Amino acid sequence: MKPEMKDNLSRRDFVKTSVAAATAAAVGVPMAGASDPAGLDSLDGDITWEKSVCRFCGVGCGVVVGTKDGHIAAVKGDPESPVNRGLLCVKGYSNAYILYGADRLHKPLLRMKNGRFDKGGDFSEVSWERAFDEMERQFKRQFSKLGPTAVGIMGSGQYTIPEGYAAVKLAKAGWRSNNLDPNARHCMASAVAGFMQVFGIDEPAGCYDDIELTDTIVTWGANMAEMHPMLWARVVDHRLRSNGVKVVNLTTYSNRTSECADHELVIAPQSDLAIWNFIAREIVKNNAVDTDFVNAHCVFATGPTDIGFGMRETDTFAFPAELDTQAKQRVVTLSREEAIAQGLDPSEEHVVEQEAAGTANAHWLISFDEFKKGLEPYTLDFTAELAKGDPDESIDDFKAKLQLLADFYADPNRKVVSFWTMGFNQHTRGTWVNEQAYMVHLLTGKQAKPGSGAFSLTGQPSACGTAREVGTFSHRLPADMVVANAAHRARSEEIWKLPAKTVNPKTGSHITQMMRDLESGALRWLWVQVTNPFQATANANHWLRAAREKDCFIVVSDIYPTYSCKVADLILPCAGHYEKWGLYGNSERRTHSWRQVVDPPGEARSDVWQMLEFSKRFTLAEVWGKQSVPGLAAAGFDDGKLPDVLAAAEKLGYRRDQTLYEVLFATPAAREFAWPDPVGAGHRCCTVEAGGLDWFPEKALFEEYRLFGLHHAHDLAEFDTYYRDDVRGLRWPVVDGKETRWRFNGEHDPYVKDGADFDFYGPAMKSLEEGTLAGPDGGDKVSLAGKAKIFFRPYAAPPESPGGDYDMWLCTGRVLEHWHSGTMTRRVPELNAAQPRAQIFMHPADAAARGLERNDVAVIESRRGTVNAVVEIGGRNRMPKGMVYVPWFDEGVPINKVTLDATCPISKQIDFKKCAVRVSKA
Amino acid sequence: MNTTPFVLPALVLVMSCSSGAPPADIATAATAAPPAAAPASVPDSEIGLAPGTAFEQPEQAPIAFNQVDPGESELRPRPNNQFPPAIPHSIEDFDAITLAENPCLQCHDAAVAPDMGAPAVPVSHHVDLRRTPDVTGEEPVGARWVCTSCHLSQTDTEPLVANTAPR
Repeated sequence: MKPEMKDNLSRRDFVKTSVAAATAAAVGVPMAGASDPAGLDSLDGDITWEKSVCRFCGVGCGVVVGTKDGHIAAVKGDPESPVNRGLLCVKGYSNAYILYGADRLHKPLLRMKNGRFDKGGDFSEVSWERAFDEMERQFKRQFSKLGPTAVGIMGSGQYTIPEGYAAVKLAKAGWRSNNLDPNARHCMASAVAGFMQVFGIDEPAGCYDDIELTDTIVTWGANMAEMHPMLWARVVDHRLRSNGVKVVNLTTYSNRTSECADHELVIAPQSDLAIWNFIAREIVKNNAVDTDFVNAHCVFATGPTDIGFGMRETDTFAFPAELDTQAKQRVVTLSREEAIAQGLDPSEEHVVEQEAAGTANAHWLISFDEFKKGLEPYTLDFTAELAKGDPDESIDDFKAKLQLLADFYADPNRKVVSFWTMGFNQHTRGTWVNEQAYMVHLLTGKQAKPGSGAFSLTGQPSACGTAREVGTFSHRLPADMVVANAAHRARSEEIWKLPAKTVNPKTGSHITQMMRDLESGALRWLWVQVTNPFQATANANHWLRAAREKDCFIVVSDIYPTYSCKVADLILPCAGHYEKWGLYGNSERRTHSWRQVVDPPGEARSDVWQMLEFSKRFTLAEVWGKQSVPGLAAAGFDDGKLPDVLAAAEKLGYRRDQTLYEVLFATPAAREFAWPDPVGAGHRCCTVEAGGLDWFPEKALFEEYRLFGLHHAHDLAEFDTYYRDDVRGLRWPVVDGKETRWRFNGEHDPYVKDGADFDFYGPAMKSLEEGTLAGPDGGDKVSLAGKAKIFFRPYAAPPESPGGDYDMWLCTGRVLEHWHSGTMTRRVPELNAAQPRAQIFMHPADAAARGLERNDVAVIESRRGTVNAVVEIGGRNRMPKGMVYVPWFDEGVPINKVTLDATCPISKQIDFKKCAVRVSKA
Repeated sequence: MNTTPFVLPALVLVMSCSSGAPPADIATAATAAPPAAAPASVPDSEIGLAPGTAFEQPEQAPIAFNQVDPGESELRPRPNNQFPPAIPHSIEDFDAITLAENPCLQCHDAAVAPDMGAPAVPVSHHVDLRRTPDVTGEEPVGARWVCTSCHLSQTDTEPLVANTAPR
């Protein structure tokens, strides 16, 4: 069905007319005002508007939130924000409704029977006092026997910066536990590992300005049209202005991003590893290497390949059907393609023990000749055969596209930006494929330059600003520091005014490991904040059962009753986004801020208040004595133990009976940030009110956190600066009031010294042994100060591919209308009506072969679990034969019961994009 | 009878039925006063957006796709003046928006919309706020090209949970 058209109406060819339109735009209707072209403000005259930040994706759009009579009345795009210039996607506009679902949590809920906590009981309302009493009782019951490794916090890339910083302090400085890990582990860990391995420092060199400056945009496994819509709007806008600009979409299924691309390559899962090597090989072969740039600024490196897949080392907990996949953690028989890809004889069998699983991030320098040797197998023929993802596409067509793609990268006159998100990060070799993106951009000198760079897009609104920069990870401290580094711990202890050796040097459990720890009994107390991990974590049947059946106490802090709440023991009601003060940091390093504009409902309280309040339940004597930490082995520490630091604390002026609240939060320095504060501008602060405070915790936390990054290439401006009326966030490092758009570039980054054109000054892992593709030579280490690493990484197959009973690929992801686990967006009627349920997207022939028609109920089954979903054979995702796609927003279709918890062994990030399923009619 | 603010429509209906009261008006769910007696307890099978415990398989009903043609649908009210209007008709059989073509504009472009009997793309979409914010052009700007980032076709689906925001 198409719209009826009149005969004399000519179809508009927007590509031709767009340039003309821009110049002819002088003719037109006078506007009501630059920020209100439709004159809507006159209709909304009784609304009070305040600059703010979108709750959702990593684009980080600026919004203006309007309130009336104590409610949010509307949200619109902020024309002053350079990110989105007044535009929003539908979720951005929906910010007005996400706090108003009728089942908002108003009071703590505790499972009880006969007036007492009972894990088998139903949820009853309790007071905050009673809630904290039970949290404390359960915490101390386990902590006194098992120490800091038995307790943990699952945090979030949707934490505000003050929330994340409070969590880091409470866990690492207070409880001396490194079991703090965010859902950002499921999102960005591979990107972080890629940055650290290549550059020695986290986060992109470039910024969103690259979009309007580039000649080429390549999206790799990133459905930008649905997942970063307002950045996609900028891409499409730029593309429509010039036919010279090209957009290429590499994807495992045809999607909305393909629709506005010049070229689409449907690729086989995991073949991204081979495609990058093909491109690099072409660049080398055709003398397109920017040798000046590479010689001045880069080195070559590689690492081990026998690194397993991040699965458990034991099969004790595996369901019987999982055992064959589980076994690959220890031994892999290489496929023919893998043998060729790794430079081995494909006619022989290669059974490879995965011996480097525990040292997966090890790497060493190699020569350019060794690098070229590694690339040699990745010819066009080999790569095309491995990488072609659509069985119905001709190999010649696919080869032509591969060549075109390589030519774009190799063309010295063509600026290129590569974008990726989950297709690369949620990948059992995610760190490798992130490194490979930089490999090609560094080889061609197309990095850290305006319009040219590999740009890792962040999924969540503050995975950058909070999780990564503040360090809410099992191995991290703020500002890129790590717990395993003695100098980093000492610096943290200095800023935090802690005795030496307070901070635990042993990396804790990452989020998937914490789930495994619940099942094994190693983790007994868990606080879930701003995330829904029992819906979000792969192989969920294990974790759901563990939560309900093991001796563990699970607290979930949220604004709504989520799927995780169904398996929790205590549910705490939280203030939502606009009901509290906060700051986020988006994908382009832009830290931005918002004020509280409405009050939280009932007894809902901010997460900051909850942590401050709970910290009052612990004295130093209870947490800073000697503690058992199995496996701890660090210089200056007895094996397996954290020392008693109470005597040292007393020397610093502390008393043993002081609480963590006094020592970590309500410090003399923090209390200097008085409330009321002029930056408040008449707004309330729910943390201050609930705490009866005369000081401003969110500001105090931010200003203390800031100290970590200053003069360490992570400089943030002062809190008040972000709240100025004329500021819409600032991209760090902010030095002398000026933000940085292109890092490592001498023209733009104040940290590049001595007139250098480029300086990859990231400090981590910049001293390496030399070696060959086969391994390190065992000689002295060489300094790589100022250099970036071009990694050679081979193709490696995923641990579970279609075959036998499970004959199809399952890929999971999101859709435009819903954010993550749908807890907010599915409570907005317009979003729910647009996408009421998660469907299984299938090729029509695959559906027909299984007796399935559109809207029929299909059973999706893997070795690990089963879910049902209704079938879609058309629509926004056109699947190739042999692959299905199910979004994860719908707790009624908990697809993570089916997925596999294999991870990148370096980053520990789960591969949510690849496992094997069978699909049948219900 | 107790009502507690966190209660889902399912529980509300159970209590409404037992008291003989008419079903709660889902569009105006109000926050009840704090209960005087001991609060009711709620099993985990009755919280959240899917019925049942985390170990049960919820039923999957077919989706009621919008099957109405353009020109035959009623406009839906916008929840606020800033919110992008929903697409009241089906777009399933439309060609995709590509670099070369935008099928939505064939009816909705301001130049043809009156003749087509379709709502016109508003002048707000003719302003390039990034480059020339003081100028209103005659055509939608490139940043507004992908209509479906904001405008959604709607299935015939009731809200899962009432939304109490004033509209």
